Amino acid sequence: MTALETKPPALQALEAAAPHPTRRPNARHRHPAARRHLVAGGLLVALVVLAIVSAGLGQLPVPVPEIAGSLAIHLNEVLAGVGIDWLRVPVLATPQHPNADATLWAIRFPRIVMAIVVGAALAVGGVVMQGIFRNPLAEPGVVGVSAGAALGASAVIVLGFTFLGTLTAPVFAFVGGLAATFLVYFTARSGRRTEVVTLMLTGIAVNAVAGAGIAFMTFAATTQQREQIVFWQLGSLNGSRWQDVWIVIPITLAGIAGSMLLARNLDLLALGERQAQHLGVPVEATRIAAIVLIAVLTAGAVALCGIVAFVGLVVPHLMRMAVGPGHRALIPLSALGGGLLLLAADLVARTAVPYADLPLGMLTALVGGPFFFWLIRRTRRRSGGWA
Amino acid sequence: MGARSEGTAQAPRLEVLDASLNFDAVPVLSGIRLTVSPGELVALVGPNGAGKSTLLHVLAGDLTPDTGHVEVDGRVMRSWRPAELAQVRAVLTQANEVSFSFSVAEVVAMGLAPWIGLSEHEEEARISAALGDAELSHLAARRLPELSGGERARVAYSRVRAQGCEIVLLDEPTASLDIRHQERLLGQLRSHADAGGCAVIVLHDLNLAAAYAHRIVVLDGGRIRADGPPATALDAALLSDVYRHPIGVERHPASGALLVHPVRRAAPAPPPSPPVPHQESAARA
Repeated sequence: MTALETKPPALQALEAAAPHPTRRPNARHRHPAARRHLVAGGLLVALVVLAIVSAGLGQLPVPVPEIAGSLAIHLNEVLAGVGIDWLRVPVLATPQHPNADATLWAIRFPRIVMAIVVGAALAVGGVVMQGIFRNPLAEPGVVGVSAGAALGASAVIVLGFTFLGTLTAPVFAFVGGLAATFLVYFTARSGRRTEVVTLMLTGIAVNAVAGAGIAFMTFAATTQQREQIVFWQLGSLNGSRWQDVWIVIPITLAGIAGSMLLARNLDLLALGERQAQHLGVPVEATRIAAIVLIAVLTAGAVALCGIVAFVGLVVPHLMRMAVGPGHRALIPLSALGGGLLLLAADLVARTAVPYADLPLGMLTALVGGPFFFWLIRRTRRRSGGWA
Repeated sequence: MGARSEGTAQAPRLEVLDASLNFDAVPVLSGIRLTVSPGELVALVGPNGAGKSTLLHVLAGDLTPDTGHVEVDGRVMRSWRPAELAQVRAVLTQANEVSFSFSVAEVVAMGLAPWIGLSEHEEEARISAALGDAELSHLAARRLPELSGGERARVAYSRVRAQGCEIVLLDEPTASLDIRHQERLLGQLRSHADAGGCAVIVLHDLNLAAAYAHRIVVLDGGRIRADGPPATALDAALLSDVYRHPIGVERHPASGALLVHPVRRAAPAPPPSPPVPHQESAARA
């Protein structure tokens, strides 16, 4: 393909004399793979350490060796249960307090796992949404997808639907989230792209309508239902049970796996929808798949923990700064980062004030709001306007 | 590119048959008939709003004409799947904004997307060749937002080179390039066509079109006004009419190359330099 151009000697001399101005080579670009592994390893270690620390903190402190001991005892029981008698994990220490074991296994472990899984779901939902909108400011909470999902969940509470068992609320949250995502996507786009300002205004409209719906549900609810709805609006991991965890884990894993399958197409979409199509991407199908994935990931999280905003904004952005925008690395690393962030936020939520559980959504918004503001300013400056 | 086999040498790669297209009842293309054969570099020229980009989008399959149809390798456009088409033709659009800060090498590697199952060695070879085509090797690790507009245009061109298709469609690829890169780009596309591929290029610079195209198609008001080799398509009277500005066409006395230039009235006398107040200049001195 390449033509071997024969250049006159004068031109060759000219080229040799004037080499291209090589600007300062940037060290962070040299070994992207090594960097990805480093970031992944760091996040994983931080996640494990924080999970153990978090399990020990609370109204009933449990020392780390006792946590390890409790984990070992239960693991040994499982091993014995499946007939592996030859393998035993050494037990360092047994929990001293009579309630320590129960506290760990009935309250803290499910809550920790829930925080990690929900954080991963929200962060990956953010990545997919930003990829398909081609816009780093798109986030399920900001544009109203979370509110749509919360409306679906609060409708279940008020109307007393139980026909799908424990899955009723997640399914309704999914439907609400899906409707909101489609609405935002098809109203905020014009000329094959999404302007930031249109996206934000659409988000305001969707949030307003979903907010009105939630307000009506609150009005129509009994006192007890009202408390449940308020819990949804504030977002909290308080009272997470294993049965909730077992609902969220498969939803989240399926969502992340689906997102990984879309990773290549999301990369190509960064070039533009037409350009992606020219490179063989079935744009329409990718779009629909992405919207469904966003709704699945957001709804699973929202249905059980309420609205926890900005995780999907902050985490993907930080990960892009660390490892670049390629989605094959960005998706798994954002899942880790989201889990870590929400685990840390939840630890603060339940230990910052003694005998009180702060709303998690309040904390993430407290950090995420200013971050979002900074991101808007930066995007605006860089693209020279509201592009 | 592989050598043409004797039997299919003249079978057209692209064919537009009586295509017309309206936007909101305003005709933007009317009765377009165009054939692009292997070995041809075709330049689309014409004034702003003549329908050049629209015609290119029709050729790319982005737009479907209201009447008539487009064929690629004898098959109707509708029957091609995007993934199939991406192995046959590459497109360089006018605007190429990339949403996230991918590195140059990553964007160029995206050109390989239609080709699944390339060996790592093969991928690297194609990427580095494509980077070399656009003189970007020294910028390979840089992130796109750090580059100038012209460099970003070269990244997009390099991505199209990496795609390695026989049919190449480009919309004003030289718009933000300096002279060196304009010449390099058209030189490469000319050799691509001479080797049996084909290219359709929207160009504003008629001299570039004259120097490199095998055929020039002059569009005006959505209609083809001329279609032929540069020497016949670039007719002074036709161009003057189409561009609504007097245009001269001459041959360079030494090289014999066609030169197209707008006819300008005799340059007005330079305005007299304003009188400099004597005292002020004296005070400065």
